[in-house]
Amino acid sequence: MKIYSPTCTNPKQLLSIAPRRESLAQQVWGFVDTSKVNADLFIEEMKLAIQERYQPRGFVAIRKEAPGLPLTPGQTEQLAAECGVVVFCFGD
Amino acid sequence: MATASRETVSDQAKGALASVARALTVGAKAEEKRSDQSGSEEELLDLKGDCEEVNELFHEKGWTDGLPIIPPKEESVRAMLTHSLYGREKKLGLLPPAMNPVTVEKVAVNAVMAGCAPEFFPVVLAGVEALLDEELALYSMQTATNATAPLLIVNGPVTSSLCLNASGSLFGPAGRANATIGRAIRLVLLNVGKEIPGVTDPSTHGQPGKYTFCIAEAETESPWDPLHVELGYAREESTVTMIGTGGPQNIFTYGCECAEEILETFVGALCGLGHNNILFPTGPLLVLSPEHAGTLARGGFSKQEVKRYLFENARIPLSRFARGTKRAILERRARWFEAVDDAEHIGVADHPEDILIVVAGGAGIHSQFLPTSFSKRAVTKVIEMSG
Repeated sequence: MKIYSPTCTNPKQLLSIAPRRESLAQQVWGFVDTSKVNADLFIEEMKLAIQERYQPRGFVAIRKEAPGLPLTPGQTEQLAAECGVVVFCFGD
Repeated sequence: MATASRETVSDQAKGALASVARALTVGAKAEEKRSDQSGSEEELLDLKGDCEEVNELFHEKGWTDGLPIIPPKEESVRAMLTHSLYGREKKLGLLPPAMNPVTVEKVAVNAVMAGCAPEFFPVVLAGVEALLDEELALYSMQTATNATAPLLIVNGPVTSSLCLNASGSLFGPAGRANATIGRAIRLVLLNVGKEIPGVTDPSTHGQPGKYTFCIAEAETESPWDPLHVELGYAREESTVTMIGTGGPQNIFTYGCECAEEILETFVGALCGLGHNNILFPTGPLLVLSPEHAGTLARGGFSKQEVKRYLFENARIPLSRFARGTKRAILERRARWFEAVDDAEHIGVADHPEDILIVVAGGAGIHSQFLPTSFSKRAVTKVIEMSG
Protein backbone atom coordinates (compact mmCIF):
# COMPACT_ATOMS: atom_id res chain seq x y z
CA MET A 1 0.00 0.00 0.00
CA LYS A 2 1.15 3.56 -0.63
CA ILE A 3 1.57 5.34 2.70
CA TYR A 4 2.51 8.95 3.34
CA SER A 5 5.47 9.65 5.57
CA PRO A 6 4.34 11.60 8.67
CA THR A 7 7.71 13.32 9.04
CA CYS A 8 9.56 16.07 7.32
CA THR A 9 11.53 15.07 4.25
CA ASN A 10 13.74 18.15 4.02
CA PRO A 11 17.07 17.93 2.30
CA LYS A 12 20.13 18.48 4.48
CA GLN A 13 20.78 22.11 5.21
CA LEU A 14 24.02 23.92 5.76
CA LEU A 15 24.10 25.88 9.00
CA SER A 16 26.54 28.70 9.45
CA ILE A 17 27.92 29.37 12.90
CA ALA A 18 29.90 32.22 14.36
CA PRO A 19 33.63 32.09 13.51
CA ARG A 20 35.81 30.55 16.23
CA ARG A 21 38.42 32.58 18.13
CA GLU A 22 42.09 31.88 17.60
CA SER A 23 42.76 32.70 21.23
CA LEU A 24 40.67 33.14 24.37
CA ALA A 25 43.24 35.42 26.03
CA GLN A 26 42.18 39.01 26.70
CA GLN A 27 38.58 38.44 25.65
CA VAL A 28 35.43 39.83 27.21
CA TRP A 29 33.37 36.79 28.20
CA GLY A 30 29.59 36.90 28.09
CA PHE A 31 27.36 34.53 30.04
CA VAL A 32 23.66 33.91 29.70
CA ASP A 33 22.34 32.84 33.09
CA THR A 34 19.22 30.77 32.41
CA SER A 35 18.04 31.50 36.01
CA LYS A 36 17.83 27.78 36.70
CA VAL A 37 18.88 26.94 40.28
CA ASN A 38 22.67 27.25 40.68
CA ALA A 39 23.19 28.62 37.16
CA ASP A 40 24.54 31.84 38.73
CA LEU A 41 26.82 29.87 41.04
CA PHE A 42 28.08 27.80 38.10
CA ILE A 43 28.92 30.99 36.21
CA GLU A 44 30.74 32.49 39.20
CA GLU A 45 32.87 29.37 39.54
CA MET A 46 33.58 29.33 35.82
CA LYS A 47 34.66 32.98 35.93
CA LEU A 48 37.23 32.08 38.61
CA ALA A 49 38.58 29.29 36.46
CA ILE A 50 38.71 31.58 33.40
CA GLN A 51 40.58 34.27 35.34
CA GLU A 52 43.26 31.76 36.32
CA ARG A 53 43.79 30.62 32.76
CA TYR A 54 42.88 33.29 30.21
CA GLN A 55 43.40 36.81 31.67
CA PRO A 56 40.00 38.07 30.55
CA ARG A 57 39.38 41.77 29.94
CA GLY A 58 36.02 41.47 31.59
CA PHE A 59 32.74 39.63 32.04
CA VAL A 60 29.16 40.39 31.06
CA ALA A 61 26.47 38.21 32.63
CA ILE A 62 22.81 38.47 31.64
CA ARG A 63 20.25 36.65 33.74
CA LYS A 64 17.01 35.68 32.02
CA GLU A 65 13.78 36.41 33.84
CA ALA A 66 12.78 32.77 33.40
CA PRO A 67 14.52 29.77 31.80
CA GLY A 68 11.85 29.38 29.15
CA LEU A 69 12.03 32.95 27.92
CA PRO A 70 14.30 33.89 25.02
CA LEU A 71 16.82 36.70 25.30
CA THR A 72 15.36 40.06 24.39
CA PRO A 73 16.72 41.72 21.25
CA GLY A 74 18.40 44.29 23.48
CA GLN A 75 20.14 41.61 25.52
CA THR A 76 21.35 39.87 22.37
CA GLU A 77 22.65 43.15 20.99
CA GLN A 78 24.46 43.90 24.23
CA LEU A 79 26.22 40.55 24.18
CA ALA A 80 27.15 40.95 20.54
CA ALA A 81 28.46 44.47 21.08
CA GLU A 82 30.42 43.91 24.27
CA CYS A 83 31.67 40.32 24.19
CA GLY A 84 34.24 38.39 22.26
CA VAL A 85 32.78 35.04 23.31
CA VAL A 86 29.45 34.08 24.84
CA VAL A 87 28.62 31.01 26.90
CA PHE A 88 25.04 29.88 27.51
CA CYS A 89 24.77 28.18 30.89
CA PHE A 90 22.31 25.70 32.29
CA GLY A 91 21.95 24.94 35.95
CA ASP A 92 19.69 21.93 35.94
CA MET B 1 22.59 20.63 39.84
CA ALA B 2 19.62 22.13 41.67
CA THR B 3 20.51 20.37 44.92
CA ALA B 4 24.28 20.13 44.37
CA SER B 5 26.75 21.48 46.92
CA ARG B 6 28.93 24.48 46.11
CA GLU B 7 31.89 22.16 45.87
CA THR B 8 30.16 19.98 43.30
CA VAL B 9 29.11 23.02 41.26
CA SER B 10 32.69 24.32 41.39
CA ASP B 11 34.05 20.99 40.18
CA GLN B 12 31.47 20.92 37.39
CA ALA B 13 32.42 24.43 36.28
CA LYS B 14 36.17 23.71 36.26
CA GLY B 15 35.59 20.44 34.48
CA ALA B 16 33.44 22.13 31.85
CA LEU B 17 35.95 24.86 31.01
CA ALA B 18 38.09 22.66 28.78
CA SER B 19 35.10 21.69 26.62
CA VAL B 20 33.88 25.28 26.51
CA ALA B 21 37.31 26.49 25.42
CA ARG B 22 37.50 23.84 22.74
CA ALA B 23 34.07 24.72 21.41
CA LEU B 24 35.02 28.40 21.22
CA THR B 25 38.33 27.92 19.45
CA VAL B 26 38.57 24.69 17.47
CA GLY B 27 38.09 25.45 13.81
CA ALA B 28 34.55 24.75 12.69
CA LYS B 29 33.04 25.84 9.43
CA ALA B 30 29.50 25.77 8.21
CA GLU B 31 28.10 22.59 9.62
CA GLU B 32 26.07 20.15 7.62
CA LYS B 33 22.85 19.32 9.29
CA ARG B 34 22.79 15.67 10.15
CA SER B 35 20.03 13.76 8.45
CA ASP B 36 17.25 12.85 10.79
CA GLN B 37 17.50 9.10 11.32
CA SER B 38 13.86 8.91 12.21
CA GLY B 39 12.85 10.80 9.09
CA SER B 40 12.38 9.48 5.61
CA GLU B 41 13.72 10.52 2.25
CA GLU B 42 10.46 9.86 0.46
CA GLU B 43 7.07 11.48 0.88
CA LEU B 44 5.19 8.40 -0.30
CA LEU B 45 6.28 4.97 0.88
CA ASP B 46 5.40 1.90 -1.12
CA LEU B 47 4.97 -0.72 1.59
CA LYS B 48 4.11 -4.35 1.34
CA GLY B 49 2.32 -5.84 4.27
CA ASP B 50 -0.89 -5.46 6.15
CA CYS B 51 -1.98 -2.94 8.76
CA GLU B 52 -0.16 -4.73 11.58
CA GLU B 53 3.08 -4.75 9.63
CA VAL B 54 2.74 -1.06 8.80
CA ASN B 55 2.20 -0.38 12.51
CA GLU B 56 5.34 -2.32 13.41
CA LEU B 57 7.33 -0.26 10.90
CA PHE B 58 5.94 3.01 12.23
CA HIS B 59 6.75 1.95 15.80
CA GLU B 60 10.32 1.06 14.79
CA LYS B 61 10.72 4.44 13.12
CA GLY B 62 9.50 6.27 16.22
CA TRP B 63 6.55 7.69 14.32
CA THR B 64 3.91 6.76 16.87
CA ASP B 65 3.04 7.58 20.48
CA GLY B 66 3.17 3.88 21.33
CA LEU B 67 -0.46 3.33 20.37
CA PRO B 68 -1.64 1.79 17.07
CA ILE B 69 -2.10 4.17 14.17
CA ILE B 70 -4.26 4.20 11.09
CA PRO B 71 -1.90 3.82 8.10
CA PRO B 72 -2.00 7.14 6.23
CA LYS B 73 -2.95 5.82 2.80
CA GLU B 74 -3.18 8.13 -0.19
CA GLU B 75 -6.96 7.99 -0.36
CA SER B 76 -7.36 8.63 3.37
CA VAL B 77 -5.10 11.67 3.29
CA ARG B 78 -6.89 12.95 0.18
CA ALA B 79 -10.23 12.64 1.99
CA MET B 80 -8.85 14.52 4.98
CA LEU B 81 -7.58 17.33 2.74
CA THR B 82 -11.03 17.93 1.23
CA HIS B 83 -11.96 19.54 4.57
CA SER B 84 -9.26 22.18 4.34
CA LEU B 85 -9.64 25.59 2.77
CA TYR B 86 -5.89 25.59 2.13
CA GLY B 87 -3.91 23.78 -0.53
CA ARG B 88 -2.02 20.70 0.62
CA GLU B 89 1.38 22.34 0.06
CA LYS B 90 0.60 25.40 2.16
CA LYS B 91 3.28 25.90 4.76
CA LEU B 92 1.78 26.86 8.11
CA GLY B 93 5.07 27.69 9.76
CA LEU B 94 8.17 26.21 11.39
CA LEU B 95 7.32 23.80 14.19
CA PRO B 96 9.49 23.60 17.29
CA PRO B 97 11.65 22.19 18.61
CA ALA B 98 13.25 21.08 15.32
CA MET B 99 11.80 24.11 13.49
CA ASN B 100 10.75 21.90 10.58
CA PRO B 101 8.23 23.30 8.11
CA VAL B 102 4.73 21.99 8.78
CA THR B 103 2.44 21.78 5.76
CA VAL B 104 -1.29 21.18 5.54
CA GLU B 105 -0.48 17.80 3.99
CA LYS B 106 1.69 16.71 6.93
CA VAL B 107 -1.04 17.70 9.35
CA ALA B 108 -3.51 15.63 7.30
CA VAL B 109 -1.18 12.60 7.36
CA ASN B 110 -0.90 12.74 11.14
CA ALA B 111 -4.63 13.37 11.52
CA VAL B 112 -5.33 10.16 9.58
CA MET B 113 -2.86 8.31 11.79
CA ALA B 114 -4.60 9.63 14.89
CA GLY B 115 -7.95 8.28 13.73
CA CYS B 116 -9.59 11.62 12.93
CA ALA B 117 -12.71 11.68 10.82
CA PRO B 118 -12.11 14.04 7.86
CA GLU B 119 -14.63 16.57 9.21
CA PHE B 120 -12.42 17.02 12.31
CA PHE B 121 -9.58 18.36 10.18
CA PRO B 122 -10.38 22.11 10.40
CA VAL B 123 -10.16 21.87 14.20
CA VAL B 124 -6.79 20.13 13.96
CA LEU B 125 -5.52 22.78 11.54
CA ALA B 126 -6.63 25.59 13.83
CA GLY B 127 -4.86 23.79 16.67
CA VAL B 128 -1.61 23.63 14.69
CA GLU B 129 -1.93 27.34 13.89
CA ALA B 130 -2.24 27.97 17.62
CA LEU B 131 0.89 25.88 18.27
CA LEU B 132 2.81 28.16 15.92
CA ASP B 133 1.77 31.38 17.67
CA GLU B 134 4.77 32.80 19.53
CA GLU B 135 2.57 33.75 22.46
CA LEU B 136 2.04 30.07 23.23
CA ALA B 137 5.81 29.71 23.87
CA LEU B 138 5.71 26.13 22.57
CA TYR B 139 9.48 25.67 22.39
CA SER B 140 9.87 26.54 26.06
CA MET B 141 7.24 24.06 27.23
CA GLN B 142 8.50 21.29 24.95
CA THR B 143 12.11 21.47 26.12
CA ALA B 144 11.52 21.74 29.85
CA THR B 145 11.60 19.16 32.61
CA ASN B 146 8.17 20.43 33.63
CA ALA B 147 4.96 18.51 32.93
CA THR B 148 3.33 21.06 30.63
CA ALA B 149 1.46 20.29 27.43
CA PRO B 150 -0.71 22.49 25.20
CA LEU B 151 -4.40 22.05 26.02
CA LEU B 152 -6.93 22.66 23.24
CA ILE B 153 -10.28 24.19 24.28
CA VAL B 154 -12.92 24.22 21.55
CA ASN B 155 -15.81 26.71 21.46
CA GLY B 156 -18.64 27.56 19.14
CA PRO B 157 -21.13 25.69 16.95
CA VAL B 158 -18.51 23.16 15.86
CA THR B 159 -18.64 21.53 19.30
CA SER B 160 -22.11 20.18 18.62
CA SER B 161 -21.77 19.64 14.86
CA LEU B 162 -18.68 17.46 15.41
CA CYS B 163 -19.99 15.85 18.63
CA LEU B 164 -17.10 17.14 20.71
CA ASN B 165 -17.49 16.18 24.35
CA ALA B 166 -18.06 19.02 26.79
CA SER B 167 -19.73 16.81 29.35
CA GLY B 168 -18.94 13.76 31.48
CA SER B 169 -15.45 12.21 31.28
CA LEU B 170 -14.32 15.46 29.73
CA PHE B 171 -10.60 14.82 30.16
CA GLY B 172 -10.89 11.20 29.18
CA PRO B 173 -11.98 8.96 27.83
CA ALA B 174 -13.97 11.64 26.05
CA GLY B 175 -15.01 10.08 22.78
CA ARG B 176 -13.68 9.98 19.26
CA ALA B 177 -13.61 13.70 18.42
CA ASN B 178 -11.79 14.85 21.56
CA ALA B 179 -9.43 11.86 21.59
CA THR B 180 -8.39 11.97 17.95
CA ILE B 181 -8.18 15.74 17.50
CA GLY B 182 -5.94 15.98 20.55
CA ARG B 183 -3.90 13.00 19.38
CA ALA B 184 -3.44 14.47 15.90
CA ILE B 185 -1.88 17.57 17.47
CA ARG B 186 0.51 15.36 19.47
CA LEU B 187 1.51 13.28 16.43
CA VAL B 188 2.27 16.44 14.46
CA LEU B 189 4.46 17.60 17.34
CA LEU B 190 6.22 14.22 17.41
CA ASN B 191 6.68 13.61 13.71
CA VAL B 192 7.15 17.11 12.30
CA GLY B 193 8.33 19.12 15.30
CA LYS B 194 10.42 16.21 16.64
CA GLU B 195 9.22 16.62 20.21
CA ILE B 196 10.60 13.22 21.21
CA PRO B 197 10.27 12.00 24.81
CA GLY B 198 13.68 11.52 26.38
CA VAL B 199 15.46 13.11 23.42
CA THR B 200 14.21 16.66 22.82
CA ASP B 201 11.48 16.45 25.46
CA PRO B 202 13.19 16.08 28.86
CA SER B 203 9.99 16.18 30.92
CA THR B 204 10.65 14.45 34.24
CA HIS B 205 7.29 12.65 34.31
CA GLY B 206 5.39 13.71 31.20
CA GLN B 207 1.63 13.64 31.63
CA PRO B 208 -1.40 11.93 30.06
CA GLY B 209 -2.14 15.12 28.10
CA LYS B 210 0.88 14.28 25.96
CA TYR B 211 -1.23 11.53 24.39
CA THR B 212 -4.25 13.75 23.77
CA PHE B 213 -5.46 16.97 25.36
CA CYS B 214 -8.64 18.41 23.90
CA ILE B 215 -11.88 19.53 25.56
CA ALA B 216 -14.94 21.52 24.55
CA GLU B 217 -16.86 24.06 26.62
CA ALA B 218 -20.44 23.30 27.69
CA GLU B 219 -21.76 26.64 26.49
CA THR B 220 -25.46 25.81 26.92
CA GLU B 221 -24.80 24.68 30.50
CA SER B 222 -22.94 27.81 31.51
CA PRO B 223 -24.61 30.79 33.23
CA TRP B 224 -21.92 33.05 31.77
CA ASP B 225 -20.44 33.98 28.41
CA PRO B 226 -18.26 31.19 27.01
CA LEU B 227 -14.51 31.59 26.81
CA HIS B 228 -14.34 32.66 23.17
CA VAL B 229 -16.98 35.37 23.65
CA GLU B 230 -15.11 36.61 26.70
CA LEU B 231 -12.00 36.78 24.51
CA GLY B 232 -13.77 38.94 21.92
CA TYR B 233 -15.16 36.45 19.39
CA ALA B 234 -18.75 36.18 18.23
CA ARG B 235 -20.79 33.44 19.85
CA GLU B 236 -21.47 31.91 16.43
CA GLU B 237 -17.76 31.71 15.57
CA SER B 238 -16.00 28.43 16.26
CA THR B 239 -12.58 28.74 17.85
CA VAL B 240 -9.78 26.81 19.48
CA THR B 241 -7.98 28.30 22.47
CA MET B 242 -4.67 26.80 23.46
CA ILE B 243 -2.46 27.25 26.54
CA GLY B 244 0.28 25.25 28.22
CA THR B 245 -1.00 23.44 31.31
CA GLY B 246 -0.22 20.63 33.68
CA GLY B 247 -2.62 17.79 34.30
CA PRO B 248 -6.00 18.51 35.90
CA GLN B 249 -6.28 18.47 39.69
CA ASN B 250 -9.73 17.57 40.99
CA ILE B 251 -11.40 19.97 43.45
CA PHE B 252 -14.16 18.14 45.36
CA THR B 253 -16.47 20.47 47.29
CA TYR B 254 -18.15 17.83 49.42
CA GLY B 255 -20.22 19.49 52.16
CA CYS B 256 -20.08 22.97 50.67
CA GLU B 257 -23.56 24.45 50.65
CA CYS B 258 -23.17 27.86 49.08
CA ALA B 259 -21.12 29.87 46.60
CA GLU B 260 -18.76 31.30 49.21
CA GLU B 261 -17.94 27.85 50.61
CA ILE B 262 -17.22 26.56 47.10
CA LEU B 263 -14.98 29.55 46.39
CA GLU B 264 -13.07 29.06 49.62
CA THR B 265 -12.41 25.45 48.62
CA PHE B 266 -11.12 26.66 45.26
CA VAL B 267 -8.88 29.11 47.10
CA GLY B 268 -7.50 26.27 49.18
CA ALA B 269 -6.74 24.20 46.09
CA LEU B 270 -4.90 27.12 44.50
CA CYS B 271 -2.82 27.75 47.62
CA GLY B 272 -0.92 24.46 47.56
CA LEU B 273 2.85 24.71 47.17
CA GLY B 274 4.70 23.50 44.10
CA HIS B 275 2.21 24.20 41.34
CA ASN B 276 3.30 26.21 38.32
CA ASN B 277 1.17 29.31 38.92
CA ILE B 278 3.40 30.31 41.81
CA LEU B 279 6.43 30.87 39.59
CA PHE B 280 4.75 31.35 36.20
CA PRO B 281 2.63 34.49 35.81
CA THR B 282 0.14 33.08 33.30
CA GLY B 283 -2.78 32.57 35.67
CA PRO B 284 -4.51 29.26 36.48
CA LEU B 285 -7.19 27.59 34.39
CA LEU B 286 -10.32 26.41 36.18
CA VAL B 287 -12.74 24.05 34.48
CA LEU B 288 -15.93 24.40 36.49
CA SER B 289 -18.61 21.76 36.47
CA PRO B 290 -22.02 23.11 35.39
CA GLU B 291 -23.27 22.52 38.94
CA HIS B 292 -20.49 24.63 40.46
CA ALA B 293 -20.97 27.37 37.87
CA GLY B 294 -24.71 27.39 38.47
CA THR B 295 -24.32 27.62 42.25
CA LEU B 296 -21.81 30.44 41.95
CA ALA B 297 -24.06 32.36 39.55
CA ARG B 298 -27.12 31.90 41.79
CA GLY B 299 -24.96 33.15 44.66
CA GLY B 300 -24.57 36.40 42.74
CA PHE B 301 -21.13 35.83 41.22
CA SER B 302 -20.41 36.71 37.63
CA LYS B 303 -17.40 35.04 36.01
CA GLN B 304 -15.39 38.25 36.55
CA GLU B 305 -16.39 38.30 40.22
CA VAL B 306 -15.24 34.71 40.64
CA LYS B 307 -11.88 35.70 39.12
CA ARG B 308 -11.65 38.74 41.38
CA TYR B 309 -12.44 36.61 44.46
CA LEU B 310 -9.74 34.09 43.59
CA PHE B 311 -7.23 36.82 42.75
CA GLU B 312 -7.80 38.55 46.09
CA ASN B 313 -7.87 35.45 48.26
CA ALA B 314 -5.65 32.79 46.69
CA ARG B 315 -2.42 34.18 48.12
CA ILE B 316 0.35 32.15 49.73
CA PRO B 317 2.55 33.59 52.48
CA LEU B 318 6.14 33.94 51.28
CA SER B 319 7.20 32.53 54.65
CA ARG B 320 6.00 29.10 53.49
CA PHE B 321 8.63 28.84 50.77
CA ALA B 322 12.24 27.67 50.81
CA ARG B 323 14.77 30.52 50.65
CA GLY B 324 15.74 29.77 47.04
CA THR B 325 12.09 29.49 45.99
CA LYS B 326 11.29 32.84 47.58
CA ARG B 327 14.20 34.40 45.71
CA ALA B 328 12.89 32.98 42.45
CA ILE B 329 9.35 34.21 43.22
CA LEU B 330 10.60 37.74 43.89
CA GLU B 331 12.48 37.65 40.58
CA ARG B 332 10.03 35.90 38.29
CA ARG B 333 6.84 37.38 39.68
CA ALA B 334 8.16 40.92 39.96
CA ARG B 335 5.04 42.23 38.17
CA TRP B 336 2.82 40.88 40.96
CA PHE B 337 4.73 42.82 43.60
CA GLU B 338 4.61 45.96 41.45
CA ALA B 339 0.87 45.68 40.85
CA VAL B 340 -0.34 44.53 44.27
CA ASP B 341 0.21 46.17 47.63
CA ASP B 342 1.07 42.91 49.40
CA ALA B 343 4.75 42.24 49.95
CA GLU B 344 4.18 39.21 52.21
CA HIS B 345 2.26 36.95 49.84
CA ILE B 346 2.33 35.68 46.29
CA GLY B 347 -0.88 35.35 44.30
CA VAL B 348 -1.62 32.85 41.55
CA ALA B 349 -2.02 35.46 38.80
CA ASP B 350 -0.71 38.95 38.09
CA HIS B 351 -4.23 40.21 37.26
CA PRO B 352 -7.74 38.82 37.83
CA GLU B 353 -8.33 38.62 34.09
CA ASP B 354 -5.34 36.27 33.73
CA ILE B 355 -7.38 33.58 35.50
CA LEU B 356 -9.15 31.49 32.85
CA ILE B 357 -12.55 29.93 33.57
CA VAL B 358 -14.30 27.39 31.35
CA VAL B 359 -17.55 25.60 32.19
CA ALA B 360 -17.55 21.93 31.19
CA GLY B 361 -18.05 18.46 32.60
CA GLY B 362 -20.87 16.23 33.67
CA ALA B 363 -23.00 16.12 36.80
CA GLY B 364 -21.21 16.41 40.12
CA ILE B 365 -19.62 18.75 42.63
CA HIS B 366 -16.17 18.54 41.09
CA SER B 367 -14.15 21.13 39.22
CA GLN B 368 -10.64 21.00 37.84
CA PHE B 369 -7.63 23.21 38.51
CA LEU B 370 -5.02 23.18 35.76
CA PRO B 371 -1.87 25.13 36.56
CA THR B 372 -0.66 26.93 33.44
CA SER B 373 2.93 27.65 32.53
CA PHE B 374 5.29 28.94 29.83
CA SER B 375 2.64 30.47 27.56
CA LYS B 376 2.57 34.27 27.68
CA ARG B 377 -1.21 34.07 27.31
CA ALA B 378 -3.90 31.77 25.93
CA VAL B 379 -3.89 31.77 22.12
CA THR B 380 -7.17 31.67 20.16
CA LYS B 381 -7.63 30.83 16.47
CA VAL B 382 -10.81 30.75 14.42
CA ILE B 383 -11.71 27.36 12.94
CA GLU B 384 -12.06 27.79 9.17
CA MET B 385 -14.67 25.32 8.04
CA SER B 386 -14.76 24.25 4.42
CA GLY B 387 -18.08 24.15 2.47
